[in-house]
Amino acid sequence: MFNKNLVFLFSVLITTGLLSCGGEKKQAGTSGEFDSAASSIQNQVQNVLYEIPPPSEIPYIIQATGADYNRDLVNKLEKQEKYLATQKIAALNLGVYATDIGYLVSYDQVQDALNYMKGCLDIGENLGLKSALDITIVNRFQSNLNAKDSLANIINQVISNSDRYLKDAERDNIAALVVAGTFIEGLYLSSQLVARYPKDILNDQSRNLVLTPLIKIILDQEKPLGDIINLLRSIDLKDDWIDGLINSMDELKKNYTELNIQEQIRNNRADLALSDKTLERITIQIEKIRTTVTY
Amino acid sequence: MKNLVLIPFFIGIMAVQAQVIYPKKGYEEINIGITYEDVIWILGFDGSKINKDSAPKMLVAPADELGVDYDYIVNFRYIMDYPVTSVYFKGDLAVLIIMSSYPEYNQFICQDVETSNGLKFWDNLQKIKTTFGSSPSKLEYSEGNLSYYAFKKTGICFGIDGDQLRTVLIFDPDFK
Repeated sequence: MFNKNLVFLFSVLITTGLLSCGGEKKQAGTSGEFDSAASSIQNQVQNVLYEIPPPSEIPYIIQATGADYNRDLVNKLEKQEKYLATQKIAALNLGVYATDIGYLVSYDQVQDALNYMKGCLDIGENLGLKSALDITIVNRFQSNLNAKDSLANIINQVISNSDRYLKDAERDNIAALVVAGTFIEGLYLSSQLVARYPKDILNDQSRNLVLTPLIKIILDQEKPLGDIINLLRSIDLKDDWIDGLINSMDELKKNYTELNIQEQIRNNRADLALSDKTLERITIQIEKIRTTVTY
Repeated sequence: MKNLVLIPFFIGIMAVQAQVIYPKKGYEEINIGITYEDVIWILGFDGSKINKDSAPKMLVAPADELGVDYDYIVNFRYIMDYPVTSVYFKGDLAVLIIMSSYPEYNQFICQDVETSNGLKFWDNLQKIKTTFGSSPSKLEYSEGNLSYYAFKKTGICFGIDGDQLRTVLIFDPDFK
């Protein structure tokens, strides 16, 4: 079986690879102000990466609830071609697919996971990451499915090789969008599982008990969500799409704030905070955001 | 209201199927006559409310031309799965719905939206006339390159830019 950290590493390597492309960054004519802004974005991306659950973690928690594998939850790979036409859409969906790989491997959908990984490589190539995410990596990935150390070494190699691409602010924008896509898909998968979890098998109390770890992860995303909003505000790419995404994420954050989770926990009303009823609005919003991102 | 909770779970499945605009009635579940609460529940976002007195001309003029009475407008500028950009309310009830293909994030979705008789975003004026009749009333008001062609009795109006359908306004002339 895949090591669950592998998928996280794969996702991290995409963003870390992007962030590590600093070799030719200080070019003649590059202003100190630009360097400072770029550095700030890099720090923000790294902070968010360490705050949000690894793409592989949420699917494993999903699996632990006993929920059946549901292929409809992952974004269809055949849509990948359409995403390539627009860089920001491609970057967002690279994050989405990276998270989907986590879901697939957690249910031992090995062939699908490999297909999705190849899809990620195609998107990566389109984004200018061809040399970092080479097809040989996939082949090695495939032949080392059971070898944790080998897989980690492959990932490390990719990271160390990914130091020569995307020389300007474009790289930071892509990294930020990949992270945003990862976050959106993770929250989508989690909230959909809670929403779709059978209601006629267990009573409400038992059902909530089974789902509590997953609901808690969803509720814990308030701060990372705020950081991702700040990250999106920082990137050097302002258009309808980014503005609309920020607006949507802002309102999602507002709903988190209205849940007043920490206060409820302080008042020993964690039962209310953790009830999946409180998540309905968040579930609807993240589904709508995800539907459009992956359309 | 609780039934509305189920709606989003089907939206993903329906995402690549045609979404239908019904003149005089609405678009998917966003219908003339539903409440503000239902609109924001279905769309998933609260939107930003603008009172009639402070609304910009570009929002006021089409409603005035169509004879739609309203108290306030709610704008939606979100990444969401319906390309609805504004809903006008009289009291608590929706009286005018505007859909737009202008925001970049709406463009993929708009490709899968059509009226109940098959007119689609980006169709030309000739197709509009073929589909809805040859004598639309051209509104006086235009915003930039956008000209409005209204079929008042039918309850639909189209914003045309460069001979392409870019916005759709849905209303019910008989709604009181």
